[in-house]
Amino acid sequence: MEVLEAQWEWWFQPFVNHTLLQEALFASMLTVVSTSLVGSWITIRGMSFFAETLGHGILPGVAVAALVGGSTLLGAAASAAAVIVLLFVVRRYSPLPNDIVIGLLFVSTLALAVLLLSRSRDVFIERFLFGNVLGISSSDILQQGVIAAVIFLLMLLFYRPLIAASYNADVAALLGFNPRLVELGLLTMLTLAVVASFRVVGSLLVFAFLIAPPASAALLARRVQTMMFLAVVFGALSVFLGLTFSYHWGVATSAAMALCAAGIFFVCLVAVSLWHKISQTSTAKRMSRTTVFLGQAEPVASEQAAQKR
Amino acid sequence: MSTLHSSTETSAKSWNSQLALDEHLLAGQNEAHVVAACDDSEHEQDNSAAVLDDVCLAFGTQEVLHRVSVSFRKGTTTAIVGPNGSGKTSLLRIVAGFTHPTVGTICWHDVANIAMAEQTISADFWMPLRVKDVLVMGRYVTTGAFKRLSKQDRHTIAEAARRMDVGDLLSRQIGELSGGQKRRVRLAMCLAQQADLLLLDEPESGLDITSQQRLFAEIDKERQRGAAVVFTTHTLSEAARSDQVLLLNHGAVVHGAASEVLQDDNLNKAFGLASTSGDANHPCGNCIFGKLNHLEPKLFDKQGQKPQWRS
Repeated sequence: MEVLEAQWEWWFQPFVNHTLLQEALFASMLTVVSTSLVGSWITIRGMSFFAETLGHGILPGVAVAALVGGSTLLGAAASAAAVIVLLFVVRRYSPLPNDIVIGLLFVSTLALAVLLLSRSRDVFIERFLFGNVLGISSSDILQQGVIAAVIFLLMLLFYRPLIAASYNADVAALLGFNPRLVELGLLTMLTLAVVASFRVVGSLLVFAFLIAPPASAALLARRVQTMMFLAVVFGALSVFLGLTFSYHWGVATSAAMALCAAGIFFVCLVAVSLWHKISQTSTAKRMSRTTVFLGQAEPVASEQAAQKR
Repeated sequence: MSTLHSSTETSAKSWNSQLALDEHLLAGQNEAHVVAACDDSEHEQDNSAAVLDDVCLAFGTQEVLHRVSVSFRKGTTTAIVGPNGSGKTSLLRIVAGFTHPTVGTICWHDVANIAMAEQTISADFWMPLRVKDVLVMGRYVTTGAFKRLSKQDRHTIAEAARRMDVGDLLSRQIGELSGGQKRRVRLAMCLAQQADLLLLDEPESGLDITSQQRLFAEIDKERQRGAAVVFTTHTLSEAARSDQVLLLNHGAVVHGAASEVLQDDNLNKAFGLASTSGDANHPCGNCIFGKLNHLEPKLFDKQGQKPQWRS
């Protein structure tokens, strides 16, 4: 109940008092910008399973980098690139549906990462699976800022080609956009978003940020740019709520943020369903009245029909 | 000019088709044929937008198109007719440049802008996109990825919406539309593109009678504008109105003026239609114009009575 009765201090004081939380909030917000922008296109193009696979696909590279003491960021990027190339090659030669190939890559990369780290006593896979938003350094934030800016610029560059290619790849080609280049651009953005996010929310929960805020936005938006804007807003809201709940209740931060993102989706879903129901009922009532006024049908029968609808 | 070369040399496959319609093709089927480069000057003179030269297409071992040589001229309409699976859509995709012919060449002459409306629109297509956004997409051909829409672009979009009667749908979501409405929007987008080469795959399918009439009137306007219009159709009456008809029949092909192609023999071989007597009063005698009253049902008889479907 304290949430309901909470005052301004309950919500905002943690971020005023603690530098650690401020940094976490800032880093998470940058993550949200990257994942929500890219995630909107992932949702539209039905690539969510692939995005999840790429989230896990970075783990072998991260594991190797951690074991040899290299940059996990570079390891993640190299691993993601390898997964994308492998997917394209296997997809070209395998007659089976895409989701089977993607599923196989999903388990293979996760198993490989676990295998690589199984003999290490210092590095644990949980660190990469769930991230550590409270352990973010200033240089990490800077890196995330740069990646978010690059994604934003790429999004501006690819906006119209992506619209056309998502509507129909053939149409995009006839309009002068190269569909393969568009796909490559989107995969580059996805790789950047995943690589930038895994240290904050972990490779397991990055999927929540790629899918949940855009999915919530998709329920409300009627245009792609509105969807992208709302996705960033919902992502930012889930970050704020997740950090606040995590601070007050002492629960895992990235999991709290992911749950808030999913929670917002279900709230939106219920709200939209209720709205549709209400507007349908009012339409039925109006139709019933119109019918009575015109005198073309029995009012009782039309009301019954409206109630059934 | 742009050229798509598939193969420079190949021996023609043994083609034993009882349904082959063109004797010229039958005579040449055992020759090894060499595909030459496009001849610019010749086709520029006859105002060709796209020229197919000895185009063959095979999917695995199955031959779909066999030595199709045809040119689509600007300011003309070409109807591609044939039974299901005869390669109509494949041919259209070759002309669009999406499919490479197995053998043969296709050349485009002064074609800066190709528009194509595909036959099937996915029923479960979802995207937060309004009808207006789809029509705007048609102008990306001039604006590219960055330029703003000009006043002329906006006028073209509004005009395209009016022509396909989708003006009142502009603010609707594309996913909320019925199949026929989606089709009209797609056709309006093609019109907004103001293409030099307009390719339509069974454009009348899913449209009501009024929309079909409107569509074929707009196709004619596109022809008058100077576009080369190529469309596949199962409506023989519309094919008969085209400047050129291409009749495909599982590899075999015959093309020419409608009155020459849509003859009894050809239609019998392609569709297995029983011979009909035709309209003796029609100037061309036994051609399709005379036969249409028998092949296609009339909606109303002369007295405006109930529809009577002919057997």
